[in-house]
Amino acid sequence: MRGWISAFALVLGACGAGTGDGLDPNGRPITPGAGGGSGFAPPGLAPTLDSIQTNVFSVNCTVPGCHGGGTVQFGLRLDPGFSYGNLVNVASPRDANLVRVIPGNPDASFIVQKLEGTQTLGDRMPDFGPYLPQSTIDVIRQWIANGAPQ
Amino acid sequence: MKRPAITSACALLAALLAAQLIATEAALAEPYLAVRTGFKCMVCHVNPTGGGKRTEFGAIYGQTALPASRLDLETGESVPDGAPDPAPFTGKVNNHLGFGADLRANARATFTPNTTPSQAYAFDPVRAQVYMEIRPIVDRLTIYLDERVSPGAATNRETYAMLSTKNREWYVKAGRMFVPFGLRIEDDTAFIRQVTATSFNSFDDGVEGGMEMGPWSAYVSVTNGAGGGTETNRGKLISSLATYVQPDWRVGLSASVNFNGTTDRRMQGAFAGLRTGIVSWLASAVRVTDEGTPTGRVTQVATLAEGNVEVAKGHNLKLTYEFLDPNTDLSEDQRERYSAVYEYSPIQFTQFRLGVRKNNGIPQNNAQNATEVFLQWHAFF
Repeated sequence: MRGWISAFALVLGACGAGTGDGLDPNGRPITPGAGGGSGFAPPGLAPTLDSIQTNVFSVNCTVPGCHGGGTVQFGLRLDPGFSYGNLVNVASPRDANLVRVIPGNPDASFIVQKLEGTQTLGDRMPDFGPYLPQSTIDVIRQWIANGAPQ
Repeated sequence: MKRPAITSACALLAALLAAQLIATEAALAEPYLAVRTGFKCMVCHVNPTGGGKRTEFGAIYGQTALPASRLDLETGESVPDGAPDPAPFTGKVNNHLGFGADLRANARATFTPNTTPSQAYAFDPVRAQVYMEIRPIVDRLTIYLDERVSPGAATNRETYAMLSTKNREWYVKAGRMFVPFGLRIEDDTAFIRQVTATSFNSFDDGVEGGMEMGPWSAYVSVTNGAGGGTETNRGKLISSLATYVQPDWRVGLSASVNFNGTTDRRMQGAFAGLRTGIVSWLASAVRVTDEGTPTGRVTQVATLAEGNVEVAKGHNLKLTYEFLDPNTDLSEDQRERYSAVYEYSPIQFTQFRLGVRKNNGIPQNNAQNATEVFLQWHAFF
């Protein structure tokens, strides 16, 4: 029995975490202009849904099993074509009082609270980080303040 | 990029070794309790696939076999060793109606390297569920509700009607449910639960059929595949789980497909459990393939190996190793997590859990390398 445990521990220790070579903080291949973790908003990010989709949601959120693909957390799928219908004026299934995006009111929008870490319900997003730079969140804020147009 | 074969090989080897250990040692399942007792999930839970309200048997087990000592429920006085068990409180109102509840209050310290401040201390929002089981026809027709009452506003996790054959070998249920897939362990943050999106945060609407024959259990569900959200396509999530249970060991296989035309998902899983003396072992490996993501096809692999040592009655030491490869086409993005959790059940309905979790991830992601220490009070009936 002790031999089995020793062998098991040896194998486990031999696995180890990745060195992260060639990857950005999100664990994705480094590509010029990619957002997240740089401390600055991605170049070209504008307060429109299309731009936020391309530069933020599709880069940081649509991880399969998180908010991408057919099986997602809390029904919040953020793939292109799905984000608006799942965000704007849609309440979180965890709390009907928490609306993900309230057009014109970024402070009260659940998505902003989750991105800025001011919401105590659940973990700050993106889960495990790196968290979005405030300049990126400010663009999302601006989109919501503009009425969150589709 | 092609990932080195050695890493995937050692993850596979870890899972295989755990499975080998389970398969070859002298035969002697939360799932570890099932392994420890040799019971199927349905013995202790109303939901045949596990979790949620306990059956009358499960409630009595939780008051007699789990705690280090017992109090008389009417007087609050200690019950001496050897004395008859005090009358239990099972939440049963009568043969047709019963209630249950779980409450977890959690205090957590998180230490994140290269971050200012590097330490965070928090009382997490309390997690609480209440359960109601209505049995208009005893053992045949059940109406079941599982409501999360905290954090936030009340959220329905499971609501279904379940119709069983007279011998309870077959059943069908319809409504909102957790889909059957893999090991339903308590820790929603475990890699095998996160990547498969089969945590207690992931319920879905549909139907499920199940079979309980001898050592065999099998379940198949067809649900929207929208994670409880609005259905947006014609495709459905089909998930299945088959388990072979022996008193001292068990093995199980799971498969799932969620086809929706644009972003299809396939999942496979295998798990095993073994009891060796005072140690209950669990091992699980899952593979998840998503098509049509912004980066094309993505395959994830996650494994878990866990040992639960019953130090003494009411005392359990849980040691867990987890491995995650979030994209098998990328090298050097793997993560792992080590956990040590001491669980102490001093009296009925009460469990304290003191744990530490060390995350190891890519060095440029500080949160992936955080260490967590937590103290949890779990109250239940």
